[in-house]
Amino acid sequence: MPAMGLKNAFIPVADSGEADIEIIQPLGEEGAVATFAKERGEGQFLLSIAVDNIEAAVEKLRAAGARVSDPRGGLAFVSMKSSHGVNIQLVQR
Amino acid sequence: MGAGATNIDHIVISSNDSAATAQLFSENFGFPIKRTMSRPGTRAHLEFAKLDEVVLEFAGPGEVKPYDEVKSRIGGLVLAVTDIDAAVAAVRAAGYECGEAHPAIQPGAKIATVKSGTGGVPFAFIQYNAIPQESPA
Repeated sequence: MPAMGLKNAFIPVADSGEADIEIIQPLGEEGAVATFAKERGEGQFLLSIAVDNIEAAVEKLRAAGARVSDPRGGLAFVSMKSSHGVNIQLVQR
Repeated sequence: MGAGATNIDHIVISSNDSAATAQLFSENFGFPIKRTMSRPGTRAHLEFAKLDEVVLEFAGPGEVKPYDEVKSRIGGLVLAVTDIDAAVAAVRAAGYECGEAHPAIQPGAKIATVKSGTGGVPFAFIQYNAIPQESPA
């Protein structure tokens, strides 16, 4: 993903395709991943949750009180204020 | 040879107040808290929720101080395997350090921690039904 300033690779956890581990590396010194790596070193960056309908999922989380970005490109991000600092993204299946 | 993982078993969310973080996740995301436990001797307080088949384990200190701000982060990843000894051997054969499989908190389960090559991610394997359990009389 050079356009996002990232290099990435997916490791499937099992053959079922139900879960992947994504390894990401910043290509420069700008952006959320680079900042994370600079501040905390290597480690777990975010929890990505696959949903069937991202618009509905965002609506549901907002109704429950979470702050969530508008879906864009099949992704939506939960404000870390709604998770005590855990980075969470929703991804459209 | 791979480690033979079948699924993500659980993800640890570390917090300075695990009960508060579990409650926030439950409220904001609709994950019901399934179980809470304080681990004797470790001064840890754990709460568990389920996200489909993946368990979220909220781990924090047994005694919570009056923090200005509750902070949490993803604190580890545990993959389920069907043969933990084979998984340990596969990791070692790949040149990384892995601890011996030992009994986990979960009855009948064994767990082994991968100690190198994880890019800073606390990482372990768990095998359920690894230790025969006595059936109730």
